[in-house]
Amino acid sequence: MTPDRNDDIEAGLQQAAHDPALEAARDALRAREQSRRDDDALAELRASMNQARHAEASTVIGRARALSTPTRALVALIVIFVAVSAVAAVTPRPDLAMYPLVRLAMIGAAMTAVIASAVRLATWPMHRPKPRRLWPWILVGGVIAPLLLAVLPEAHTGHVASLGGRGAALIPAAARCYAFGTALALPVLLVIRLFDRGAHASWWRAGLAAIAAGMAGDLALQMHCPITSIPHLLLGHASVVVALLGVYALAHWLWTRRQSAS
Amino acid sequence: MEAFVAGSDDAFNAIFDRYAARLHAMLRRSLPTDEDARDLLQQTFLHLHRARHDFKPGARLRPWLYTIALNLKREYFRKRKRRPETPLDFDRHREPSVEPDVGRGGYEHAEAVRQAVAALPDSMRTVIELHWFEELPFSEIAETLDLGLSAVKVRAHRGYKKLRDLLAALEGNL
Repeated sequence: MTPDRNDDIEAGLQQAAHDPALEAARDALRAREQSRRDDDALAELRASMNQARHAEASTVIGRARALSTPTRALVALIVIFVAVSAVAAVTPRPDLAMYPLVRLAMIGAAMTAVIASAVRLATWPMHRPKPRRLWPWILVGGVIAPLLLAVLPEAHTGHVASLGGRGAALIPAAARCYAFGTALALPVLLVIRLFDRGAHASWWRAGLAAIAAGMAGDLALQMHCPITSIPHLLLGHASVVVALLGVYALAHWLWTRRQSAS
Repeated sequence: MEAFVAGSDDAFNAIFDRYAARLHAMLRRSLPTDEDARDLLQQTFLHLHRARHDFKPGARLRPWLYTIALNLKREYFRKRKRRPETPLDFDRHREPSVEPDVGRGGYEHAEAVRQAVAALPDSMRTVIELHWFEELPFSEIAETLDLGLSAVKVRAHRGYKKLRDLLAALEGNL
């Protein structure tokens, strides 16, 4: 802003602050609002809110939602970390000795970054303005990232288990992986939504929660499944994120449509 | 505020008593019914209550409340896929005679003012409402809307110019 323009703005605002016509207009609207003020209704509302507050404080969900935002996000991330680590520890991929570990670490880091960003935004508090510059990137990135990772050149074909899921075995193997990833993602989604402070009409929070949960499922599959073929990774792994987002988005849309119709 | 964070009823009630009427009036200006305004007001304070452990000592409460209310209002209109204000939707069922303290001339003037504000572009209207009606300083408006101070002042400057023109046009029709 050039100095001249800045001066115009400051002068304009000063003028507006002392404009008798604007003052009269504001006074007229305030007078009407004051005449409509219903202190009894507000007192009644206050009483019902105190009841709602006390009722909420006695529930697990109420207490979870009252945790601070950093705590809510951290707990959700810990749940994801524990779930993925458990898979890596109990059913690790058998081709780990042959898999390029640098590549695996980079994939893990990239997915973790998307998960952490998505969790942070999915637990975004209502008292902060919507992060309008950030959330579209995370939402789109959360869909594109698993697809991009799936179409990378095959990591290796040196292990017999990595050669599965091709040809006639494509669909059955992909279906098993999809089910495995989704089975891990759904409880994660529930935990993230548990911490949502009730802004259920907020579709972008819901979408980001689905991204975080779906990526957690996909990450677990990276730790578990040895199949390296691209069609399998697309159909059985990346699909966990895409399908969860699609199904959840549809369910959310139907729910909000029902809410606005009622 | 420490008492509020600890969950004290008295502290919550004090905050409610201090801000509820103004927030209700702000919501009522934009929403079609009093019931909707009270519903969003209730949600505003419930969200405030849930977020109390996010409150840092020394922070200002007022931007929190206005941000929550504005976010809820935005979600309300998005769910209903409506423009934030449709001036002719308002007060269809309300007759001047139910407001004896205001008088018919006062009612029409007030209605013209509200239509003028409603006709402002979204980006200007929120700033004007917060500055003109709610008398928030520009620094708080910037914090509430996550905008720079300069951007807020530019919007306010343009908003006031447009508001004057709209008021002149509407009141010329009365």
